[in-house]
Amino acid sequence: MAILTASVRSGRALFAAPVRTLAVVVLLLLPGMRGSAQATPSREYQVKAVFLFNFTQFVDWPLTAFSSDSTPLVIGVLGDDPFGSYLDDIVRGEQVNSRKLTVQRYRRTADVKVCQVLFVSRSEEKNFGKALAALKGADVLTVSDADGFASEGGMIQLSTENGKIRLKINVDAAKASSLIISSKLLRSAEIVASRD
Amino acid sequence: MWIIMLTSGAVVLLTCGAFFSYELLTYKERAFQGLATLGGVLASNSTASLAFDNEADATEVLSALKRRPEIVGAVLYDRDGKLFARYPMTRSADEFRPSPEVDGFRTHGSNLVAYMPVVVGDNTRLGTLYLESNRQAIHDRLWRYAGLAVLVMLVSLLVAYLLSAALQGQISRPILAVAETARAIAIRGDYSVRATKVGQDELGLLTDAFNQMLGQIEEQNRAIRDSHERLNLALKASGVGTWIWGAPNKHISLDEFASPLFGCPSGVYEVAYDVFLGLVHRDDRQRVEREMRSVSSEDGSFESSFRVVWPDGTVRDLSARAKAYPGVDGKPERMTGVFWDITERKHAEERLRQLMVELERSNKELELFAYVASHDLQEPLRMVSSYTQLLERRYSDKLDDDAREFIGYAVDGANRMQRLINDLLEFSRLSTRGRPLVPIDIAEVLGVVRANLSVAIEDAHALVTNDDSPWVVADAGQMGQLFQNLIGNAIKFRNGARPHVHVSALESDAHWQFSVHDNGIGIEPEYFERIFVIFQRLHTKDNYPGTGIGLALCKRIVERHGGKIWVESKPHEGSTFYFTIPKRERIETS
Repeated sequence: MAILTASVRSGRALFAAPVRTLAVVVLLLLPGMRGSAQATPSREYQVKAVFLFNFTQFVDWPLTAFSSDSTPLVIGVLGDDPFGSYLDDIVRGEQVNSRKLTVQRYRRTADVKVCQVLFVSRSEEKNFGKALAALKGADVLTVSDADGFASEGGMIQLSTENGKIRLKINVDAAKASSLIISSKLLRSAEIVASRD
Repeated sequence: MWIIMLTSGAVVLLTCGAFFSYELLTYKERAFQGLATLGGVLASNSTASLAFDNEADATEVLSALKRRPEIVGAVLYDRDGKLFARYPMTRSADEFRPSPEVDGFRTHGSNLVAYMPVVVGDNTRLGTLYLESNRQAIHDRLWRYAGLAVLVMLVSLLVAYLLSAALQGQISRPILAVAETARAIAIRGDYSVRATKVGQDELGLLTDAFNQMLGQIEEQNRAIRDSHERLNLALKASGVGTWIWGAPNKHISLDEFASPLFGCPSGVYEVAYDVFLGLVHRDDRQRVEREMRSVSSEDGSFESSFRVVWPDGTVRDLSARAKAYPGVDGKPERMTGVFWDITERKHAEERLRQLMVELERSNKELELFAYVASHDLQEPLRMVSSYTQLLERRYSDKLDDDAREFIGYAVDGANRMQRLINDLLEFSRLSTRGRPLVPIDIAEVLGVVRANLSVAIEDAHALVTNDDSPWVVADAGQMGQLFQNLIGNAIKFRNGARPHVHVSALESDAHWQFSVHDNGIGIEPEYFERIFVIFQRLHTKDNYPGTGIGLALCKRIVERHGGKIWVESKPHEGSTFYFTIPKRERIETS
């Protein structure tokens, strides 16, 4: 019976996904919507946005990371936002462990207060080390597609190989915090060690 | 033993059959459950692969299915329903459906298929897992089950066999032993054998009961044997032989005691009916045959006497008695009986008859003699008496007193002699003129006697009384003589008092006892026997008249009737004469 009800629910979810894609395509085709920071991201960043959301499914944050049971899970974007509203659309209405999700944008590391997932934009390529140092040991999942992110201490690095996005995970960095990364996620990724 | 094995086999078969049926009925459900479990694990393992677009990883997850040979195919569809990863890799992607069907479990042909969602977290659907399984596993399981059932059955049968073989020792063997003993006894007829008792349990009880029964049979056999021997001895001693006759025209079988009666050596013979009749004297043959055929239909009894002629010519008389047993049609079918030799008896009867004739003749002669004698004797007596009286009358004046006295004596003597002769004649006639014994009324007899004695009774002022008198089987005339003599004596032998004579009768089982009681002079004990002897008188003729023949006559009459007569008396105190008359059926001759 559990399988049956799950299939009914996920049937709706299944239906929702193509709708979302369609919405994106429509948005892309609509003229006059481009140029703003809210413009539809590239295919690549669409996938990365989905990945960001998916990370929340495969990582466990300690209870201390949240002030209450109803505190939403924050996905933060540090630096230039490559996702536009896409990320917001993805997380809208979704829940992780009964928590809603919100998206925050930060210009500077110091602005990062409460955040569970932090995507460091490539614009911060030059100085993500500072950010990482500041967040070392914090219960924040640091994700970036900047090169060398993982080896510098970033937890998850998204690298594109052969047109496919591959994951590099620095387990030590994760272990320095209280975050628990699911073995399933680890299995899908390349494990990377810190450079030093 | 086969019962045990059959029962066990049937039970095991039924049990296995039940489980097998259950398996058969529920395998599909179970198979889907298994598929669901498997799929659940795979789905869970492939969430990350689907979430992060890692086809290689997803394929690796699916490849674990190679350990499940019954899975013929599996596909992970991504969020958009596109084929993401497949198993086995040997099949091309085209062989699989491009997009998943609705979630659920169903059959495709003979295979089972499942479409299951791949979900992560609360409810985020990442894709669909498709699993297709053939029925190999199920078949394998069912075959395994069948094999197990067969194995279990064989083992059970073996165990049952071994158990029953062992149990035989405990249960069957004692029973078989008893049965064996029974059979041996039946064959040999030896009832002294006993079964050995093994153990104190129910089988022991059975053995005991069996032995007890044997003991009883032995006892009965001994009783039968004894009875048989006694019968044989009796037959042997008595010369009685037994015979058995089957239905008409069947054989007659004679035992070893019967055959000598026919002049044959002792032994058991089977003679044909005609042969048997041939042994019968020709004059008796027809009668015997008739008698044998017309056996009494009421009680099936048969009685006959006939002569037989021995092979050496001897003629014997045989008597036969038998009982006929009816067959299904009610007619006599079998007769069982006895023969015995009555030749001697027949001879005795013949002699008796002859003696009777002789006796009759002798009696007649005697009577004639008595009659003639008395007649002839009386004639000269009468002459003496009459001429003596004539002398007295004609010559009385010439005779002196003495002479007249002498003549008186002579006449007296002659008269006495006459009376004696009469009495003697009467005495002798007692037997020769004896009439048949018939039922008579004593009361009537007493009436006649009273009439006859009326003069004497009147003269003596006697009182003659009697109780109720019965009927007896006797000779009326002689009864009259008897009572007349006794009552007459009672009156005659009186003393001074008025004579009172009383007659009474007392009944007992076999006879009537009469008594005549008087209050006369009585008799001294030493004379109780003598008075019944003829001519024995206790008193002179001067005191009491009489010839002395009366009581002898009474005794003779009583004895002729088969009774006894005796007296009880005290001198001067009267006498009572008793006599018995036996009770009897009316008989023709004395």
